[in-house]
Amino acid sequence: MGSSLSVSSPGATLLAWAAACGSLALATPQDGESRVDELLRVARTGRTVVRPQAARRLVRLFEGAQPAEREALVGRVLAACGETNADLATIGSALIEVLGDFGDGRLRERLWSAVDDPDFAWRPYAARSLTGGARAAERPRFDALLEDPIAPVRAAAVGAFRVLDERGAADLLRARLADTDDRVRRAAADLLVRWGDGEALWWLLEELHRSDHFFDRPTGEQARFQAHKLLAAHLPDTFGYDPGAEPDVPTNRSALERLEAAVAERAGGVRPTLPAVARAGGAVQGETIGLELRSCRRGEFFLRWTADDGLLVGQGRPTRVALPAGTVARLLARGRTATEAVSDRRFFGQPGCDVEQLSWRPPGEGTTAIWIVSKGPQVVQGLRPAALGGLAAELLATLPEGPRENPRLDHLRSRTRAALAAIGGALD
Amino acid sequence: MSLLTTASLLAALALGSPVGGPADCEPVDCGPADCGPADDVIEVSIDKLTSIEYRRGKQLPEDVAELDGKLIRIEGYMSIGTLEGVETFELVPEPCECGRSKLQHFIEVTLSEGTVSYRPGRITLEGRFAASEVVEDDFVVSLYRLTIRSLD
Repeated sequence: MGSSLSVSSPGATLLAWAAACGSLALATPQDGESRVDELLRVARTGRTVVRPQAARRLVRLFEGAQPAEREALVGRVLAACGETNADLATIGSALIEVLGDFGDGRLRERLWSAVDDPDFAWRPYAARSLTGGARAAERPRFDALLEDPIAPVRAAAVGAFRVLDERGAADLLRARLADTDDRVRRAAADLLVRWGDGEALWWLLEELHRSDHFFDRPTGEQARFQAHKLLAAHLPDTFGYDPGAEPDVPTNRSALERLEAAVAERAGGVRPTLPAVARAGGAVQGETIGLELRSCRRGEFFLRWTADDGLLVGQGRPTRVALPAGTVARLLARGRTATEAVSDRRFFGQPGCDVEQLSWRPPGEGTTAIWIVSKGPQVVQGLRPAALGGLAAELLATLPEGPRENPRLDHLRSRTRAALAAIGGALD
Repeated sequence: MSLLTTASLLAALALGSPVGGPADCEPVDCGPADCGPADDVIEVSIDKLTSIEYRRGKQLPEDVAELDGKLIRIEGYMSIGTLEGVETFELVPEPCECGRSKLQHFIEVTLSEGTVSYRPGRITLEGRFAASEVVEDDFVVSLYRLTIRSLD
């Protein structure tokens, strides 16, 4: 299997990749294979979409089995997990996400070992797997996960407190209402409301005001849908609010007024001041260069450079850093050379949980060009083309370095450098 | 709908759906103009489709189920795992692998003309939509499908 793919190549290379990954396989039974082994095989190597279903069926098979059969099944699953975290990673995310559902202490320890390993690629899946059967004795470990650098891990930890019904942790969850990631803020707000904290509804309501984009991606709309779903579960009526429409259309403005009244009533008339990170963001002018990093081990970074020498960090309501005059003009000049060098290719690598996306929209251009570097959990040397690596190094040099009070900016350069290295290899 | 500034694709008129459409229209010849107001193109947010809670065999939300068989226009991203030279690809709400294994998190797009070439960036598609479970080997393999003419 090659380490890189060109989108301009015929489909043969991609088909070869797919065959190597088994993603074209469905569930054809193999001779002499037990039902357990069949489900294990499909959950590991079947089509992406059937893997979670096969994994879930394995759990149902366990739940319906006699004690001796259960022990045998868990033994088979344990054997499939191997001895090390590297072995465990090979069973894939679908199986890892259900290991906790077998209620077995040995499997839980394997999951905790994986979650405690910052280089384990499927940490969010392992964390979610632990959540469903969270145990009171694990509370300190879940406390620690609330501060994890990976946002989906933090969101999973919030879920554990819901399972434990650990209301003594309400203050820890309130702290997550200022999380830099909107998924974590929503999860925390949702749980606090479930525990009777009506004030947390204001955080969900605020999301309905969002109209932000990250270049062409409607991040505000995505947030509106998620928040609306949660609010609809907490309030008797959302008054016709349509998350697919902008917040300022007349019907939504009217709905938002009525929702504010309903939330105020549930919150006992208290309207807290939301932290800046949780307040609704709007349109951004002058986005020119974007760097979106999603590393399964080093976290997510959403960075934009604007024509007026601004650096925007984060989604929603980003943190703005003023850059020295002329910085972005210099980056644009450097970027033109880099993007011209790779103009015939837009994708490097193979699909996976590590993704780096460069968005390029120089002033005056109406469209956004995109280059993607992507890979799975395995290290791939030299994945990022030199031209894009040079540009990434220049972008990196403009980021704030060192400790900062704002968690988005705290050690931003070193954290971003680590994510870039994890995805496309270290920058020279 | 959101702004669209990337190289966008507006696939031509929609084609037939396996789940039907206006009874007096032949799917291949039937475009919005032929089928009258009842077959107007409906703008659909991909987030509306992907934010539902799905369980096998459970009724889809009414506002999603009623889109079955309709002409829709929808924005999203080609899955990063898109194969070239084939006739189908998955449309997803984010340009990453996040959550693609969930059935409600992608739309299986079929081209009736030509083959797929991967295009990064947000795209707009117009075609006939289907919302129902497709089962193979007792596993559900798709929930949402869209048939478009081509990517050109």
